[in-house]
Amino acid sequence: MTAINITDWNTWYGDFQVLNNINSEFKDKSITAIVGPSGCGKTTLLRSLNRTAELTDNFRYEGSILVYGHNIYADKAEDARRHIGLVYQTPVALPLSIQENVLFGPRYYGERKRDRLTAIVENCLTQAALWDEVKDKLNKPAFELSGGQKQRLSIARALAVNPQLLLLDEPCSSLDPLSTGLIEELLVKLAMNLPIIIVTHNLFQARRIANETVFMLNGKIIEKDLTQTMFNNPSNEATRSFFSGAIG
Amino acid sequence: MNNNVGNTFFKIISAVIAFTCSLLLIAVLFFMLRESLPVWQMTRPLAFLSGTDWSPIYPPIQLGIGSMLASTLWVAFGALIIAIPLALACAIFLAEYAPQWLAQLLRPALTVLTGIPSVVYGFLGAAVLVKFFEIKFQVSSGESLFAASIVLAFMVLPYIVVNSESAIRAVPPEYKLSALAVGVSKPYVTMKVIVPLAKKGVLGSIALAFGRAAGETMAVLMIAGNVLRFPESWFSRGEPLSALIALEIGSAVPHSLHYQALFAVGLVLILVVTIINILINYLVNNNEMPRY
Amino acid sequence: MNKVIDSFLIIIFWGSGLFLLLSLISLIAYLIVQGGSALSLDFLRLSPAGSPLGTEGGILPAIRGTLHLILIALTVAIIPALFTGIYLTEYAQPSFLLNTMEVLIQSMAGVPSIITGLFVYAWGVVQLGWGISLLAGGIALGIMIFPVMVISIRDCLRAVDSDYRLAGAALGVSPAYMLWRIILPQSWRAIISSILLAMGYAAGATAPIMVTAAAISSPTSGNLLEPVMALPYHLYILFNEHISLDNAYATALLLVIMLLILNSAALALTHNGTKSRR
Repeated sequence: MTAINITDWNTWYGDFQVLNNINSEFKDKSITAIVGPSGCGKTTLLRSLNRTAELTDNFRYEGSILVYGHNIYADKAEDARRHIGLVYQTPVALPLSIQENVLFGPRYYGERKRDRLTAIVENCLTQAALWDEVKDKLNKPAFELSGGQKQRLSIARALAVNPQLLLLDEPCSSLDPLSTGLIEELLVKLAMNLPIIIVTHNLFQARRIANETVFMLNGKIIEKDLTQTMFNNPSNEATRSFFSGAIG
Repeated sequence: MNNNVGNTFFKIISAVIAFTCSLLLIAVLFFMLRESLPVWQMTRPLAFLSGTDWSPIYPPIQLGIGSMLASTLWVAFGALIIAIPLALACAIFLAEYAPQWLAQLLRPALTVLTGIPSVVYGFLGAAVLVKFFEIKFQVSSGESLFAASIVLAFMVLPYIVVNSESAIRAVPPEYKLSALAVGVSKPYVTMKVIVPLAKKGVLGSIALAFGRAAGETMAVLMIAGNVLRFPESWFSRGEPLSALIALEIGSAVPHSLHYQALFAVGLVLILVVTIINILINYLVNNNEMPRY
Repeated sequence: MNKVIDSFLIIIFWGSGLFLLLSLISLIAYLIVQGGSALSLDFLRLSPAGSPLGTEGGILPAIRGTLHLILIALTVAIIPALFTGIYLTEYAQPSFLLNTMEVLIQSMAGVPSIITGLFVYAWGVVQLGWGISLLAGGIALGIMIFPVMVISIRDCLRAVDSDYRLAGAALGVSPAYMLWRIILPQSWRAIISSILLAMGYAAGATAPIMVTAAAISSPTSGNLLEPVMALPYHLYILFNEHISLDNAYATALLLVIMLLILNSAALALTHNGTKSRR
C-alpha cells in the first residue's frame, strides 16, 4: 500500500534549485532509507515532507506531495506537521521533565485526561525502547539523559502525537554503536505499523533495517529499489559507484 | 483549536504593538520638524548651521549654531581620540589575555561603569577634574572642552570595550590557530590577524560611542563651560548643542521663535546622531545589535 | 625587535584592563570617602531644609520622586517592549519590513536623551497641557528605556537554544505555545535582569526629566500633574548652585549605591540561570 506519493517535486532556496523533479512512492508499514552524498538534497526532501523546509527564507516549491492520498500542502503548516513526525540529527531534550517531554505535543493538542496522558507516556516510551530505563524517574529533568536516551526520547515525543508517518534525519550519527543498535531495533518494530523514512549516511544501517533504499544525487532521485537490489545489483552506474564507495 | 486561536491572537497583538512602537523615531522626528518649521522657513539651513552668532531673543535676531555644533563635534571626537586606544587595548585584553578570574571581575565592572548615571560622571568631573586643572594650571576656570572630552571618554569607554570584545570573540578561532601555528607570537597574531577581522564590529561600536558622546547632556553641562563662543581650541570653553537645549528650553516661551529655534537645534542633533547610526548599520551590516 | 614590541603590547593590554578596574574601584571609593559621612539615615528620611534649601535636611522627596518616575517609566515601557521583542524574535519573517523596524528601534536607542525630553516637552508638557509634571517625566523616561529594553529582550530570547524551536515546529506546535512552555521559562531571568538594568538607566537619567518633570523643590506627593524632585537632578542643583558639596557627594553616593544594587541583582539572576538546562 502506498503511503506517500511525491509527484514532480521541485524546490528552490532563492534562485538555487535544491530538488529536481522528484517522483517517488513510499510504501506503508516499511522502512525506506534515503542515501546519497552530502548536499544531494536528502534533508531538504525530508523537510519538504514535514513542511519545515518552508521555515527557511526564500523557499519555493512546485509539485505535490500526497500522504495517504491527502495533499499535505493544502493544509496549514502546523496541521500538516502534526501528522508527520520528524526526529532530528541532534538529540533534543526540551527543558522539561522526561514525562513532559513526551506529553509536549498531546498537551498542546488539548489532551487533559490524566489516565490517557499516563497511557501515552508509557506507550510511547515503550515503543521508543526507553520505558524500562526511565520509568522510575519520569519526573526528572530530561537533560540528564544520555545522548542515545535523548534520541529515543525524541522518538517517543514524535510518536505521542500519533503521526501517520515517521521521518528521521540521520538520527544515529552522533550516537555510539550500542545506542544506534537499540534505535535500529525499535525502528524495525515501529515499521510494522507505520511508514518510516530515514535519511542516513551509513550504508550499513540502510542495509540492516531498510526494506527499500533511495539513492539521491544532486537533487535528483537516481534509483530506488529493494535494499538488497541496490547493494548487489543496481541498474545505475552512479548507484554502483556510490555503494561501492567510489563516490560520496 | 484553542491553541491556534490563542497564537493568532497573540501574534496580531504583538505585531500591532511592534509596528506602532517602531514608529516612535518617526514621531519624534516629525515633532521636531513641526515645532521648528518656521525657523527653517526663515533661515537658510547652511546659515543656521554655520553662523556663529546665537541671539534668539533680543534683536537683531541671529540664529547660528555654528559655535555649538563645533563644540559638540570637538568634544565628541576628542572623547573618541582619548577613548579608542584605551578601549581597544582593554577589549583585546579581555578577549585574549585576561585570566578567567580577572575577566570575571572586569566584565561586571564594565557593566557597572555603564550604569553609573551621567550626572555622577559630570559631578565628579566638575568637582575633581576641573578643580584639578584649576589648581595644576593656575587658571580661574578649569572647565573646558578638553575636560569634557576626558569625562566623556570615560563614559563611552565601557561601551566600546564591550562591543569590541564581542567582535573580537566572534572571529572564528581557526584564524588564530592557523596564524599561531606558523610560529609567530600572540601579540603579533592579535594585531595583524584578529583585530583586522574584527574591524566591522569595532567600527560599529565606535560609531555608537560617537553618538553617545555627541548626545550627552549632563556631563558637558557641568564641565564644558557653557560659553556661547566659537571654541578656539580643545582647551577653550564651549557649549555643545545638547547643553544649549537643556539650558535654554526652560526659559523659552512655548511657540516663540526662541522655542522654535531650540527645536531646530534638537533636530540637527538627532539627525547627526541618527544618520551616523544608520550609516554604520549599513556599513557593518550584520544583525548583531550592539549593547547599549 | 619583535620581542620588544610584543612586551610593549602586552604591557599595554594588561595596563588598560587594570586601569579600568582600578578606575571603577577608586571612583566608588572616592564617593564613599567624600559622601559617606553625610549619607545618614536622617539624610534619607528628611526633606531639604536650610537656606538655601538643601544645605541641611535630607533628600526624601527626591528619592520618592525618582521612585515614582521609575514606576511610571516601567509601566509605560515594559509591556510594549516585551511584545515588540517577542514579535521581532519569534514571529516576524526576515524581510525588508523586519529590517526597517529593527533599524528604527536601534536608532531610537541612540537618540540623545535630551531629545526624548524635548519631544515629550513639546507633546505632553506644552501641547497636551500637562505642564512640568511627573507624568511627562515618567513617559519621557519610558520612551528612553523602551528601545534599550527591546534590544536586550531580543538578546535574551535569542539566547534560548533554537533546537527547541525546531523540535516544537516539527510537532506542529505554535510559537505562542513554545514561548509559554519553553522559551519564556528559559529566559525570564535574563529578561528580568534586563528590566533591572533599564530601571537603573531610568533612575539616573537627568536630561529628559530636567525639561519635563523636575523641580528644584517640590513636595513630590505623587500627584501626576505636579513637578517632582528627583535624585539626579537634585545632585545637579546641589552642585551647580553651590548649595552643598557634602550633600552632593552623599546624593551621588546614594545614586551609585542604588545602581550597584540593581546591577548586582541583575547579575545574580543571570549567573544563577547559567546552570544550563540542556
